[in-house]
Amino acid sequence: MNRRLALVLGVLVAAASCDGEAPGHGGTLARIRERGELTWGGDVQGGAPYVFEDPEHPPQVIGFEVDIMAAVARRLGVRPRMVQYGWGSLVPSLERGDFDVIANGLEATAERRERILLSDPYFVYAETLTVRTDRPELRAVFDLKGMRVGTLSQTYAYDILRRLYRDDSEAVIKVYEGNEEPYTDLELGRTDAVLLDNIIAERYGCTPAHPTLKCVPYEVARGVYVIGIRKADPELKQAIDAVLAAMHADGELEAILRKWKLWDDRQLEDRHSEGQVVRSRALDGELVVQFLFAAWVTLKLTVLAFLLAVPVGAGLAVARVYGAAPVRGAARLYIELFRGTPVLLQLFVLYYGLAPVISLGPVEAAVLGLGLNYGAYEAEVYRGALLAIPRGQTEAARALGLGPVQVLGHVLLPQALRLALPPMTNDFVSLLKDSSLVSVITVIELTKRMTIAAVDMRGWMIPGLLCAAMYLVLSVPLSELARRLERRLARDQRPLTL
Amino acid sequence: MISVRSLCKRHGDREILVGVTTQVGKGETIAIVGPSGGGKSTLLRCLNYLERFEAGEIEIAGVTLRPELANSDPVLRTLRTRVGMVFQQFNLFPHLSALDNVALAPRVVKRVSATAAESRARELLAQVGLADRAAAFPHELSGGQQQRVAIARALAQDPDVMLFDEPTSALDPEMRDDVMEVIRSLARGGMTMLVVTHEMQFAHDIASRVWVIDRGTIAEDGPPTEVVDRPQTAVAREFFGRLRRASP
Repeated sequence: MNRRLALVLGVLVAAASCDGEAPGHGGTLARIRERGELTWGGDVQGGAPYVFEDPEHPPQVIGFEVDIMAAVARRLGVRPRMVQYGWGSLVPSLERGDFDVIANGLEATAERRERILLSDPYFVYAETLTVRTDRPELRAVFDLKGMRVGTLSQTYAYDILRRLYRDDSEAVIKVYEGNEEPYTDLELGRTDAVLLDNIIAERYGCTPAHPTLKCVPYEVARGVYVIGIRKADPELKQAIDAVLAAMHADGELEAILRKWKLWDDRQLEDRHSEGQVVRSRALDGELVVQFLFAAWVTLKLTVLAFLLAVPVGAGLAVARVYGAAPVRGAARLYIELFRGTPVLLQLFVLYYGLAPVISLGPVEAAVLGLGLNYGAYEAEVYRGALLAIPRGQTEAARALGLGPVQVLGHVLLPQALRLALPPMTNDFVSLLKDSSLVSVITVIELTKRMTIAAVDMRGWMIPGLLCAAMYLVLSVPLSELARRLERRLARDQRPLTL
Repeated sequence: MISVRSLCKRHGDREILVGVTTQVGKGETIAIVGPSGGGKSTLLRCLNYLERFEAGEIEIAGVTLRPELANSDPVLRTLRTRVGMVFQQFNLFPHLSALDNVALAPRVVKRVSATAAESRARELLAQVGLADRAAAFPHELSGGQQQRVAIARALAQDPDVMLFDEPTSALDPEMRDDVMEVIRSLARGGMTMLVVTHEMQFAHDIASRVWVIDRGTIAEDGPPTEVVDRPQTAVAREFFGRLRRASP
């Protein structure tokens, strides 16, 4: 069999076995009792009042869900232990068996009900629309046609918006990872509205900190937070449901919610909401078009950022090698600063931090952030290449009367380029993949498209393979191009032998 | 053509040149010899300011050199179009063909048109016997051929003075003769030249004057018939004696 085909098949088999339900995780309740410990997954990035680090005693984690899980564990006769996971990967991690249950603002959506068991609710929330006070005409989700709307990824709010507005031509939906950013962008005019749970809207949106924002007083929809349990553990669901019912009956749940100022009339209403089952998405032409568009965004970001990084790097390298002491120091400071801090942080600073001074669009901020960051790496590549050129080359050029700039342009840089080309190809391919980081500033590129599609399709295999294929289609021809260029530039080289 | 006055050069606290004073007339060919480490190459490199010096003054081809000129000083540009230099290691530009190596400086420094620079470069390559290797890259040429391209490259600026820093030391003996022949014909054509060399035959036959440089000064200075055949100083006697024993 063709080796390449065998490799592809191997990947398919591996992906398929990861995609289904993790087998053999039944009997969790018995094991919890045996261990004397109930482990639950959550993400402190979810922020107050869910699960967050106590500002007064930082490493300690507090929140209304911490209290609820403490009560649940106590009533089961065991200790609770919270396990930190990224919110977006809570469900797959539960399925993998990394912890016993999920308790972190998990909404009872139809998709989740298909995939895992959901307990009875412990909280009823209202989807709340937040707008700027200068846009009084926006009063309901139906007014958002053609608008830009922010929300969090993998939420009920996202589902509602997507059911009303099928794609970006009807309404642009920007997905965020944190609670603060959707409202920051709304205030800056980068979006027109934000749809999120009332807990989030009241604490992060229409607060005194954002005087220009207001929450529309009509509820868009109601939803519930539930505890997520593996499909194979119905006896655990039964036990937890019984505990929650008891907590509701004897007032402990009310006490906890009151302590966190979360108690309202909604909590008294019927808490059983099955939701509607949305058909999971299939691989169709539209999905491929979306992936192609995302690939185009990735390619565009990468090329533009690299076109910025090369001159920045060349300038820094020349400054570091030939500059006077203060110029050298400044170049070195730049390099250490941009190379020594995460590009993710730099993107945040550019997009959110600088927003009060200069409000960059997400693509501009992404190109600028990646370009300035990679410029620091390019600088060191070029510096190494310049230092590798024998001193005699500079002397010969100067002895012919060439000035400093001419020596650089006609003698040193052409030779440095040849030396720098292999590491530059490396950096370009690396940048192609690092460009996925810009999803944190709401740019939907290839990797983000994959995670969105994986939620819509309820599986990672097809989006994952599609995404990998597109990255390869972008990177392999590029390496080939670099290889040819290298061969052309190597005309002046004796072939290497050992 | 050249006048050097009280030239002093040091590396840290080591003195390389100790108050060198001398003159060279137009059309003279000076062979510079002496034990290694004596300051021969340093003196040569000071003459086109590749090496800075601490004190003294040099007048060369109508340009006056003093300590502390900036690298970008326009005087240096003038100096280097009037003084050509050939290095022991050739230092051809590896990314350019022989023709482009020769044509680069006239085009870039003197802003000669590309076609004019190229036709002049072809003439010069023919002059050094390499008319047929114009398109070759340096790595495709033998050491002797590379050094002849380097001479053509230096000549392309139409210099008044040529400096050679051990032009044949990196070459196999059979290639030295080709390079020496080119230098010899330049001497016959009346070029003012200073050649740092270990070639006795060359010093004897071609040079109009021979300098023996030792410990940073010109220990002996005179026509080869005097300096080579009847050296006065101990250092010169010992130096030539060793060379004669090495090449009988």
